Amino acid sequence: MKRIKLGLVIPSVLLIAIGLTELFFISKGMFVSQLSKVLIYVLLFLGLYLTIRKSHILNYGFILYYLSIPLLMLTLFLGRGGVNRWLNLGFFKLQPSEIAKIGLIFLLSKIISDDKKPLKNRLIKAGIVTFIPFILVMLQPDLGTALTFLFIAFIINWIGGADPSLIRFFLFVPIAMLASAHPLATVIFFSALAVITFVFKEPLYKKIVTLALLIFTSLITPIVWQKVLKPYQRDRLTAFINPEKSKTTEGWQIYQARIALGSGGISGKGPGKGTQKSLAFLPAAHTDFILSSIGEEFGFTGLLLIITLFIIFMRTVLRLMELKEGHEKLIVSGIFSYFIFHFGVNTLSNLSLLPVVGIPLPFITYGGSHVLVEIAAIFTLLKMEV
Amino acid sequence: MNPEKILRLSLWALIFVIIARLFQYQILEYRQLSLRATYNYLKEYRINAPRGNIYDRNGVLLASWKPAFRILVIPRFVSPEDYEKIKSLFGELQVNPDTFSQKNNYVQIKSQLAFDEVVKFLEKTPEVRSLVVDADPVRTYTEDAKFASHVIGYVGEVSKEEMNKFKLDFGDIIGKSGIEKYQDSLLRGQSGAKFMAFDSKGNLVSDSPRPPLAPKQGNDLYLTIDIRLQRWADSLFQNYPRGAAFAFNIKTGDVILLYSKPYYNPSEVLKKWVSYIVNPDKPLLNRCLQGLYPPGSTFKLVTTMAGLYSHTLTPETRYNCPGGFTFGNRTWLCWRTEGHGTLDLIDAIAQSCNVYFNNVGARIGTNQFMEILEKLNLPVRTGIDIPGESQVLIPLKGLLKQRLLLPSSVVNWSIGQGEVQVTPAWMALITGIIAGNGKCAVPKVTIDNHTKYISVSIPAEIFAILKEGMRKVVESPNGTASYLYDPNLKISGKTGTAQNPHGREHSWFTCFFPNDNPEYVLTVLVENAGHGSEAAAPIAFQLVRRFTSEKN
Repeated sequence: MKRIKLGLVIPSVLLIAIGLTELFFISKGMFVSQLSKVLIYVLLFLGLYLTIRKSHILNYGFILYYLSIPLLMLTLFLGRGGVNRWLNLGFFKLQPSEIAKIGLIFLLSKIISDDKKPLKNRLIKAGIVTFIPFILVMLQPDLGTALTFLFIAFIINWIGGADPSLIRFFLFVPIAMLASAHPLATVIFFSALAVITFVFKEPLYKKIVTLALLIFTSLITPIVWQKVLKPYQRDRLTAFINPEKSKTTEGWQIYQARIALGSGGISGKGPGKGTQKSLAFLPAAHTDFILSSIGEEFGFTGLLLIITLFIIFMRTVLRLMELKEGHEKLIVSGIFSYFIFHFGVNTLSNLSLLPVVGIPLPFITYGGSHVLVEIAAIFTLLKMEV
Repeated sequence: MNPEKILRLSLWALIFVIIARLFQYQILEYRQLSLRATYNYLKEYRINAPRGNIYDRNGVLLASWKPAFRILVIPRFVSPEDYEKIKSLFGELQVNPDTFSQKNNYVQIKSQLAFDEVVKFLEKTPEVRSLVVDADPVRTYTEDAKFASHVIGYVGEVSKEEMNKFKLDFGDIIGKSGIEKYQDSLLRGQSGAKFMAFDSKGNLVSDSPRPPLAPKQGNDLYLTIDIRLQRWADSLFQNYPRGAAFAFNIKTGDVILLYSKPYYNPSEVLKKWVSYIVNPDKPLLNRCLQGLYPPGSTFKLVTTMAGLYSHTLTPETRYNCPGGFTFGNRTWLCWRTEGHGTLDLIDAIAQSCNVYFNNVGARIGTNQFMEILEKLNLPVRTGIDIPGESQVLIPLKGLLKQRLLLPSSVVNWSIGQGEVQVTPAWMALITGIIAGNGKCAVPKVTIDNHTKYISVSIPAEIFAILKEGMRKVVESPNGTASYLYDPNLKISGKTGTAQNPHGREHSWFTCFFPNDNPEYVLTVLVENAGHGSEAAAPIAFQLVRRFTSEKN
């Protein structure tokens, strides 16, 4: 199907081009570095595309997972305080957690689609392999990436036909956490939950376990919030709610991002003319806030183009998903979850709708590792399509 | 619903939220947020306006301005270490780090610096970020301005109270005294603005991101004084270290002379502040308006007013002066110890007989004297348009509350001694009230058309008698100032010799001219110079001579 191939390649090439354009106006050095990385990866995967077969990916893709786990451990040992996300390979700083993401997609789809084994065993195994990188990345600490693993696991399990009660549990956990912020919200949530639990026809033990786990979640959340998180960590997570009032750096960053976006207006200030970006009011203009940077210089129009390209890309992935079954479908759904999570979280945090948790904007944010994984994902999708 | 459908719907929901939010930011809030983006980097600096010029009544320039420099810091970028560096350069600053942390665009650290001072500052090269050297107009005064320093006043940096009261910034210049203070808002002008662009770290990106707004110089001001007369007064006072001369037009209120010695140099007040403050001669004191002196015999004019008003005295009333006046067990000597013999009122004024007025006072009585003065309703200050005028001390119940009053008090008051203390300007105003038959313009030092008047409702005959007496002071052969008589000058006046605890008597002379249709009053006071006829009266005559000749 030529349409699917074009629907995957054209938007991603254009998105990479847009990212490189913005990087060009941010810093020539970053532009050159990013461009050379992209070219190397594209050449690498063109080579792989011609040599590797689909069955190789299906059967051996999961090895990436087992490669990334020791690397993740290594980051913990090599880092001395602060944030330990990167391994310095001399020419290139590798972020093993990015490799772990695609590795997890391959491994989970293999585990879930292996219908020779009972579902219960598969789910337990899936839980364990998700939990390991989750913990390792939480220790870095990198909440955003850790949540990515959960999201990917949730989507693959769901598409793979996991127990609906498990899915419900996954959905209800974040709601229970949010509701625990206020006693009234907690009461409402559990009342609603009681009704839902009563309506669904399920074995009683499942209902009890689910309910018990959710009650546990809503009890533990305030304790973690109050006792475990330090004030600055709490501020980071809440700064986006009222950035103007926040005294933290995060609050200031989010507020400046809003000014950058808003002052771009419909058509933007023009390439290289963003004052927020060039006078360093907008922090991390090349990473977390590159979307705001583009919004400042290319305006609403420029961002609509990015969104449109993204929609085309995502719809193509969904289309491919519909055409596939079993193992392949799970891989495609994992890749879909990767992109929608990254795009959604990054964009929403630029728009003060979510906390800033260091999730890159696919194809666009400066940095080698995530682009490597994204090109690998496209290569995988193209292989699945064959 | 199959999972793909749910995922597709979730995708669209996400896209909808994103676009809605972008619409809010980039279209609905565009104007507001782009303004914020601009003010993130664009900082506005005030350009101080030059103060308006000050001229004398003939258009002679007295105060102007010249370009100088100032130093600003951008508080947002000043760290505590920077603050220490700034402090080591300029000494203890009135600005503290709290002020720095405010959201002000800038804090003015030093203003009105000369070029060499700026060069010295730049040589020290403080590695303090966000220090800006900028042009700043500075007030200058001409050489002759010092002769009128007490009219002009001086300028200086605002105090804390002034900053709050007038909404000014630290380091701003404000009029501190004289007309510079009274007409500050007029002279100040309208400041302009200059724009600079800074990045988020406080580095200067551009010093003209948009064209500056030019400041508007303050309004020019024309004073009523004649600087030539001020200079002339100074030459007449050359033998006397301290004194004052005050003259104004009783019809328009224009003050043509306001001279106070010693005076100060308005451009050097701040530099020489300490020496001015410790100087026992008090050069900063405006003797015309703030100097309180016993009026001596000049006060006999008021005693006469009180006597005639209360009918305890008539022009025909005669008292004998044996050279002294005894009341109770105390005797007051007349200045002419051999006595004046028997005198009527006019002669008593002309010859300034103390015993005569002691009698007038004693006849009235202490309490009645105060009651009559209350009824006369004389002003206690002139109301001139210069800040800081003192209130005089005359026998009014309200003013003498704390004092011990005796039946003999009035004997002192009647000859301008005891508790009575007045300013030369007040004496001139009383002279003006007499000359104008109860109506006199309030003196003012700026030329405008708003003349205010003081009216005292006293029968006109009383003023006629007083004027007759004052004329005789000069024209009668026995008058205390008769030796100065000059038929061309047509002066009527009154001498005064005020005893005081600081040495020789203060010499007073207060007069109006011309006799028939009085236009001007002039009061001269020379501290510790002896009899009124010896020092003050000759100066007054010379001033009138000069003034009338220059006027014609």
